[in-house]
Amino acid sequence: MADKQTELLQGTLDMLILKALGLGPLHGLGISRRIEQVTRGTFQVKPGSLFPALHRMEDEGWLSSHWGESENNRRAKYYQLTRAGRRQLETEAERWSRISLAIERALEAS
Amino acid sequence: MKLLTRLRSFFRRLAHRRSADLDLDAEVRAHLDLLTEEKLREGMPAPEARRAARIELGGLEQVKEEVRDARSGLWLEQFAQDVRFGARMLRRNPGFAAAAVVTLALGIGANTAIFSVVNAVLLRQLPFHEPGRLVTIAETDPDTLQPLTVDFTTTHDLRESSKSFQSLSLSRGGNGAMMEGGEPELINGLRVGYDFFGTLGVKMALGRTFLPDEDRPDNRHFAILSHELWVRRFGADPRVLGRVIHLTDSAFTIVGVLPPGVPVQLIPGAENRPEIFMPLGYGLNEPSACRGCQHLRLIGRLKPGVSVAAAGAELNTIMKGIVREHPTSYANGVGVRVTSLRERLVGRVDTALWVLLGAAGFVLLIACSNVANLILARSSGRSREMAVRAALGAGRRRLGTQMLTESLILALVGGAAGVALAAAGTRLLVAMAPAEIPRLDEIRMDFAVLLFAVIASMLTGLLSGIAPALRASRVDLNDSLKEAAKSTEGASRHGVRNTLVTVQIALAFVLAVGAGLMGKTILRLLEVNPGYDPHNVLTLMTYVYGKQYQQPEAELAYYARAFARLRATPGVESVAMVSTLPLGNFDRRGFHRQDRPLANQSDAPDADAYSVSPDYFRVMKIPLIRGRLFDDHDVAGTEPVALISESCARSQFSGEDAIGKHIQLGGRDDKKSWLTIVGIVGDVRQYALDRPSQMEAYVAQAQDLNFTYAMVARTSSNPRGFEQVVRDAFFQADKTLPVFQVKPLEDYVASTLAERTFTLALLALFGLLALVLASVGIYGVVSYLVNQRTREVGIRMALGAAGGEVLSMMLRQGLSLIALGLAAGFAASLLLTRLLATLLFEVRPTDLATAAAAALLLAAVALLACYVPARRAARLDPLVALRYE
Repeated sequence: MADKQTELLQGTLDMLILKALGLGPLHGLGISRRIEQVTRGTFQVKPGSLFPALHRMEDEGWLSSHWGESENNRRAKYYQLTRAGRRQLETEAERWSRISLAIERALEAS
Repeated sequence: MKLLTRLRSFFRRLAHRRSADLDLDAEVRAHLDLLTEEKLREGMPAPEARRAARIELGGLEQVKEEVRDARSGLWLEQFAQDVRFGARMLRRNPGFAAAAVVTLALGIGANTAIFSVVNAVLLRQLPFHEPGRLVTIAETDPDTLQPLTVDFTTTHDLRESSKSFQSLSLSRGGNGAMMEGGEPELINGLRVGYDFFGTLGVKMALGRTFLPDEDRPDNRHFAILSHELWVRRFGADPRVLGRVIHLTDSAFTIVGVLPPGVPVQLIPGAENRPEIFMPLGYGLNEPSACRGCQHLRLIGRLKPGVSVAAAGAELNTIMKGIVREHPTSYANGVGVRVTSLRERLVGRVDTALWVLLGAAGFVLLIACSNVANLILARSSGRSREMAVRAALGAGRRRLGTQMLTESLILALVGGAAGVALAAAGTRLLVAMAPAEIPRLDEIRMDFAVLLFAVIASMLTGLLSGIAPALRASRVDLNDSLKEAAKSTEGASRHGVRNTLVTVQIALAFVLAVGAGLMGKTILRLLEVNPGYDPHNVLTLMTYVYGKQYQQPEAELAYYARAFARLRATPGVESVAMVSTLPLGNFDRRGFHRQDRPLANQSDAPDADAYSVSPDYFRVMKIPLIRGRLFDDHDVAGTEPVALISESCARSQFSGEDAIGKHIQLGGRDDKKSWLTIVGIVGDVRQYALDRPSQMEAYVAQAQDLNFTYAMVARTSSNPRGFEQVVRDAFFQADKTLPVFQVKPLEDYVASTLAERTFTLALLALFGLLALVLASVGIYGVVSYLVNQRTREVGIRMALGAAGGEVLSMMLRQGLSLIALGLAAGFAASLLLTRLLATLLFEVRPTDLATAAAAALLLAAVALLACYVPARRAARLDPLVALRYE
């Protein structure tokens, strides 16, 4: 079940992560809290989905990572957008607004 | 670009795999810490905060595994991991690994060995220039079962009108005794058209081929040497060109030497390995060039783009015209057959080899299912391991791949062992294969064979791994982790294993039936009465030439001198000469009755003609039916006599008495003396044990001397013991005359059976292999069932079941599998044994007796394989059984 949902939301998740990192570097928990916050709790990203996505996106060259200190002086791994990541965010955002616009219209039409 | 970054990160991780893994671990742990801290901040007490954080994380190892799964290039990393792990598992179970590897090695080895033969004989191109365009051509008529020959004049006419061929070239055998460079030796030779080597596309290593002008009746004494003869008798002397050598009674000038490696034994019409080639030198006016004098072989090279069928159609049209022009020269219904050289050379063995490759494939399938069963049996022992790994985050795919990797490792190790086995097996095959199978000397382990072995191994690995892999990927966490899992067995697992065993038995049954049919065929063939008794008969070929033998009396005296010595040798019971040995060559001639002249002489029936010395019938034990045999009074100057066979008397003199009638053999010619039939003898099978007699006629050697003779001698014990004595007797009669092919008559019988014996031997071997593997398979399954039901058996016995009841209960389970397998096998055999039809003799492919015998044998062996573990169950101590876990 859970797998199915992840699959469905794969593209969404990537975009949400890119968006969350748009304002600056964050660690894993920070990313998932930011997403919860901006989507008002609609999307709760579990670590089992988050970390694979982060690593995959790092492989794609969209993110870079470094170890740093958290607000409470704990060691944590921080992610930030690369140049390619910013470009990707733009493309994704554009694609999404196109899609959501299209879906909205489709719903209105009927 | 993207690919590049991916690859870079992959290699980076590959280089620092360990540190990357540690990094991941640290990252996830840090995340857990952050989560816990968050919960603490929300006011949760410490233990609960930790617990909530863990739940939210969803398992440290699982998260890590999912990250690993998501990584690019992961499969390679995983594969390496799987291979390492698989190898470790196999090393830890040497017994299991050895059983699987040996099974697979046998299967892959058998297939690779047979494939190397198929590859060399059937698949690889013939070693001539553009071999696809080479054909052989023969004149056909309804009487001749295997047309091979043509005559010179007809060929001349065909060549004039045909437009299909780039060239057409004739040849005939032409042996010669050579004295140069060593002891007198009979050299196998071929007389060929001047463009013969051009037609084949063979170039000379030294000198040149024949010129058109050197292929004339009055100018034909030139020779080309094979590489081997050039080395053996001329010391590889490059100045050999232009040298004059003596062959039998004539001088020949050497004009060329062939390069090494020319497959002279493949040249159509060459009976043995020809080593010397001379021009044919026929002209249209020669007596032996006549229409109907069919004794020449014809090869042709088609023009590019002309098909064999089109060439055949064209030649037949031309032939019709020739027959219209010369109606009395041809029998009714003559035609021309064009056969591709490949078909002519290997067409005969085609079926046998494909059948054997199929049989080997069956063995491999059985081996696969055996290994699959082994892996399944072991995987039930490993279900806890699998469950633990699943609990630690291994995905279904990952578990399945792991199982598949293990079976692939097994298959590749088995394949490597199989190739080694095949290398040895191929040598054995070549050694035991009959000389009748052509191109065996070309068998080698080449790229194609190795590729075949690799593909066979991979397929084997996939086939034997697929069922266990599917099972592993469906592992049920809860069930497996519970201790009780061991004794609760899913029905589906039985299903797979039972199906595998059923398939094995079915395959083994088909092989057993195939071997049985071949065995029965050979028995039937051995039961055939060939008309003579081949046991304890030694044969020898003679070759008489030279000035002192111009007169027939001299040649007869030579034989008489040898006979005198042989008759004085203890152990030699009788000795005689014959112009053609049964199952050897043949000499078919027209059969003419004096009282029934034919309008068209070519319509005369043909009979096999033999010129024999008086004792021939005694040596061969050919019975006299009526009249008398030849005796020492049937010599030149007395009334010429003949004997005919029963079948000949029946078909040519039905309702009359043949004795006293006059016949001629060969062309009817009133200048030739007519022969008086003095006796009727039994039929002989001249061509093969499965080909009935086609009329025989005998003439007395002293009245009608032929060109070549074979000696036959009946001995009191194993004729091989007399080889030297017989050879010596002829050398003492004249030490300048060669004798050769000294061997028992039974060798001729054996070589006509050789193809079938070879097929039988291999089918029987494969059948045996299949039987052993299948019984191992069923043994494994029944043992496994017994183990599974140990506790149940304990309860039954504690409740009073007798050992016998338990035994029969267990056997019943095996029996139903056997019955199912046999039924499936029987159905399959009905379809498959048809492929054997051309190899069978007096046995139908659907012979029920053979099927029944095969079924009995298989059932007996399979039951035995069930019995051993079933008895173990019956002898269980109920107390031990109940505690068994």
